[in-house]
Amino acid sequence: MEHDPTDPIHQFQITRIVPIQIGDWDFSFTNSALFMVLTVAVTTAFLYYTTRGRGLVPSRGQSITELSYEFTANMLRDAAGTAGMKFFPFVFSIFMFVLVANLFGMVPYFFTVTSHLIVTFALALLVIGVVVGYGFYKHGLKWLMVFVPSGVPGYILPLVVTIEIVSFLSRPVSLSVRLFANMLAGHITLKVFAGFVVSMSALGTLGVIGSILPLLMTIALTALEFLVAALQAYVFAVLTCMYLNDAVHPHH
Amino acid sequence: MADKDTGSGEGAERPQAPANSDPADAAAWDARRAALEAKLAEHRVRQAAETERERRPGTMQGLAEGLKLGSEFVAGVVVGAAIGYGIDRLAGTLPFGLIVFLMIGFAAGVRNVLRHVSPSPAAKPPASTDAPKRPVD
Repeated sequence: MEHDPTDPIHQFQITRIVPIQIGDWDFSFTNSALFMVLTVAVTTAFLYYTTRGRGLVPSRGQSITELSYEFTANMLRDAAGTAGMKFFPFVFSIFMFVLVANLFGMVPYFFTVTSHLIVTFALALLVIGVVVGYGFYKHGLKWLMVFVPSGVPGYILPLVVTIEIVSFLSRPVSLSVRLFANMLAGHITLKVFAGFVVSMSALGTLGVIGSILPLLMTIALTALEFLVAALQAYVFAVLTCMYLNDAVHPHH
Repeated sequence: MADKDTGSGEGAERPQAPANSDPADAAAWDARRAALEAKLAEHRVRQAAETERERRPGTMQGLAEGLKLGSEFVAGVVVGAAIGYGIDRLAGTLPFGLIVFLMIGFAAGVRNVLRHVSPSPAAKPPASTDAPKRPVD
């Protein structure tokens, strides 16, 4: 299928690489799935090979790995205390997955996994599922006290508890929509400005000269997108830590 | 003897100088201690300011903060409206559940934002020790 090269939406199209149909369900291995596998494989390979030497004086690669480890560990300890450190593998996996998936999206012709709401929503549901599951497992029904702030008079308690529950339910939504919207909007903006360069330079000499402006904009946006990619992974991980804190320490 | 006294005096709080010294000497010790105390306090203030500054490295943190708060608020309203609409669909009371839960969702959105901007004053011990380090979360 031929498509307009300046079409900003085309990059998000899901294509089936290996069609798999089980019953009424479509289990096809898509380009999205391919890049998820690539993300996990590259992350794992990088972390494994950089720490293989276990140098006392770390090599460059090992420094990166150690930095990301310490960064995540501090983030989790700040948010959820020492008791939250048992979630470190979980938080680290999520952080590295989102970060690498976001950065993969910056490579030309690569598919941005996190620009699809279903992917980020699945991640957010996983986080909330762990929070709720661990909360009930650890504290039993007492965990529900997380919805009851202390020091609230009884007559407005039903209203406050309702607000708290809605606030809790809004967490996976805000967590997933923020990541998805940032990646989607960033990549569309980038593509639109890059498309200007193509369509303007088709207009002759004047167009080529004029296309310098959108080109500069594209360069600036690329830098911004790298920032956003790292930032959104950070925000996702920080909020994960904060929500885990509610599971570990439900009384606030 | 005097050595021992000053040695233990460092650990515990001992306002006096070695016991066998004359009052003038004790006054000199006190003056020295006061001067040191003042210098230490000044140093601590500067140290606190330094860590405070390091904690917010400008645009990156601010940008993250802005995006976070905005989406937190919107998510509260949207989820509230969705719950209200769902209740309406089940109970057939179309506008009312939507209206009520839209307002509750608004409150939840404000609650979300407030939770993120203010370190909770009644935080539990592990969080309260961490709170000064990262109140923005």
